Amino acid sequence: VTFENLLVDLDRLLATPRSISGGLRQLGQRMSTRCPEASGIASLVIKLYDPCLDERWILALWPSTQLLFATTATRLQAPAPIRRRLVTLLHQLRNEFQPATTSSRLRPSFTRAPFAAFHWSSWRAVAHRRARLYVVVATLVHIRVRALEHGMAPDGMRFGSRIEANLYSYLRAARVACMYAEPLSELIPDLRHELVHGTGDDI
Amino acid sequence: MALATTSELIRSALRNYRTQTGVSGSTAASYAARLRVVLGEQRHRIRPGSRSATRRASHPTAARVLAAIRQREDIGVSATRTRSRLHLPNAPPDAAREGEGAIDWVPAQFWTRSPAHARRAQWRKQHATMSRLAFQHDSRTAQLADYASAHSRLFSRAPRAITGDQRISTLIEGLAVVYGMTPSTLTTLTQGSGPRDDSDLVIDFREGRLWIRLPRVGYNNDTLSQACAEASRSGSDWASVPLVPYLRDVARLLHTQQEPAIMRSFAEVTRKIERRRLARLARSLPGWLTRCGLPGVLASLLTGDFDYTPYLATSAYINVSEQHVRMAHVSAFRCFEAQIAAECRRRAWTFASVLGPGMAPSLSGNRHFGSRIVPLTGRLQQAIQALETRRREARLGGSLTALARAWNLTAVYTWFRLSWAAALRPCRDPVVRRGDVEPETGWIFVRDKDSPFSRESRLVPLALRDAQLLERFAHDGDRVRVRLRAMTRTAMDQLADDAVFFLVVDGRARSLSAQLVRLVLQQEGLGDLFPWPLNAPRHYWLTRALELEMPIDQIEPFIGHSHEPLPWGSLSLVSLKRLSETMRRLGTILLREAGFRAE
Repeated sequence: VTFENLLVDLDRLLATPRSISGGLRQLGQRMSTRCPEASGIASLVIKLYDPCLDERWILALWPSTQLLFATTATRLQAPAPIRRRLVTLLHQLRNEFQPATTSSRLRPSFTRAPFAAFHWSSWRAVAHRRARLYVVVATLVHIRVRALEHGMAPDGMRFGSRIEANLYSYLRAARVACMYAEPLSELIPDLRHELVHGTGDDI
Repeated sequence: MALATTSELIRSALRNYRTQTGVSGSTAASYAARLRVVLGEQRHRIRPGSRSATRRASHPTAARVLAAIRQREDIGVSATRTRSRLHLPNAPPDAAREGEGAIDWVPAQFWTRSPAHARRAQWRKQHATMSRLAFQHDSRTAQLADYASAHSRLFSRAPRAITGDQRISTLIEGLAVVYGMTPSTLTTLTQGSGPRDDSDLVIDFREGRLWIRLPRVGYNNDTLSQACAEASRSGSDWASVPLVPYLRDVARLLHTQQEPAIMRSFAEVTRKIERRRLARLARSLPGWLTRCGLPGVLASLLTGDFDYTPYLATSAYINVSEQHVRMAHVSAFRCFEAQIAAECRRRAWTFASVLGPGMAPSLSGNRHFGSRIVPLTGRLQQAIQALETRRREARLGGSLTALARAWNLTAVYTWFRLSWAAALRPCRDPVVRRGDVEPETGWIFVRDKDSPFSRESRLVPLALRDAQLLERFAHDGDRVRVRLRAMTRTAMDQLADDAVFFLVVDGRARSLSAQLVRLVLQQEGLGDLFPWPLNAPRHYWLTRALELEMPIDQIEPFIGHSHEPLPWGSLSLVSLKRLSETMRRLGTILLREAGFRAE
């Protein structure tokens, strides 16, 4: 497993297959210019959530971004040095390039950016000591729902704006599970391990 | 208990969710199905063939407006008006020549279908088919000869000539063949001079009057405000109707006996009567009376048993008078009795009418019963007039505050007008969406019921000028949206692109809801003039339709009370075009009655 192969797999599992907005593309270019060694990561970061996401939400979503990359690398059984490099580059990218943040107290729109809305609101709940299950299932949920998006993308014209609504119906169910699940301590270690590391089916 | 599998995790989370929020089982079940996909091992693919997955396709106009905003263009000039509309296929020429319109050939997906009770639906369909093809015979339906036999046996002697238990038997069987009360309902009959807490069906022997408890559906009358009560017709949970003269005389003769003795005899006689034959006569009577012109809801009311009848919902909406019910019943029964008399003549059986020569109005007053939120017409006109006076033009060039207030009032007014024109439910979700209005033929596609148990959508006819008003309103809404997006910091993230009705409250654009309508009315100082729940137009509609003797059974499907057989069923012989004209005519009458100006 090489770092480049890992990036390809991350892109396949986590990134949106649809064309992203101009704002996100420009943000990716600026990130790559400022931090050329992390350009591969930068191109992943901008495709990690939704095609129409306002780029100002990227920094607010950074904890989830790190969680998704790190956990997926673990699921892919990437060697420790490669995982360490991934995390180091993510830190470097964040430190070198802090995108403009949004001062809005609102959340990303569920109807336009369902992935971002799910991750942002769930992480906020985790920060307030709720929805701890999110930390364990975030990557699994992201990968599975992204797979649904991959299934819909070829028929994008027929789905129209319902793609986001369809995705959110699944993410909403996941959010409910995170919010109302028993504490993590109630999950047996094997189940937690399975949720984090996967059984290999999605890989 | 430790959770060992994903299924247990899902079950426990949703159990907690239901306990803490009280959501319905169907919502939890839909979440469970999705969680099995995102956490469990179930595989799924969302396909475009699924109607719910693709129904709301992206709207070209909205997309263009959004794109224009992003590019900071002059939106007012560049945004063209090519609103997508409901496209109905034309009726085939042969059908058109026979008077059918495009609406008669609407694609099947527009009509709701019952997903459950397939066998019952199949039976109903066959039954309705027989009925529509004028085959009235059905092994379960009592025929004219059965009624002729019963009438000849029961009513051919004068009440005074009947004695003892036979008098009681005549009353019991008379209630079955004149009002359609089944033996099981009659066993609950109690004696009293008015409503009683311990019974749903009371007979007043002295006055010769029946008291029938109405089912309570969806409303808690205790929570209605005093102001609402003062601005609405008086109502009651107890319906009452005087008995027809023959049965009234029998009841009065029985009244001379001791009360406990009557009821004891009642119980004994009821046991002796052949229930199966009587049940058949009683069960079939509402159908015969409906054919003779009695509105279905009144026919069901007089049976004393509303449970599980298709008119249960309608019964909660109407406010009628004792005299109205009595006259409607007598009129239909007279028509039915003429057929029975003809059958008796043919068979050389004796016949005597139970109605007597004439029906004088009751001397004991004309009490109103039923819904308590049917507005008094005078109060309603006063409120609508105040709302119309307060309306002003929403100027896009003015301040945001002025624009928001004027727009909110316009939206509320238009919503009121629409709900009085077509008896829509108070919206819980954008009830009318972009592209769902057909102003040239006067139809709208509404989705006004969105409960956990059902999602209902239907086509509703609308007077042409009201459909055009709605179209104009949607156009104005587009301009307001553009103004809000381009030149203000108003949050639009909670507003669906395809919502036609929206308000601007606290710096945020939101879909119209009952709470927001109330808020706007309060802000404009009109709150006190509108004390009724926003469902009041539906109550007024059905009540007035009954009073105006409109064919309520034909109107009900358009206002969302769909019960078999539907007028637009596959073998229907009725033209929807004609039905829609009835609906439009009633809408126009009621709009005028409520005090709305012609736009």
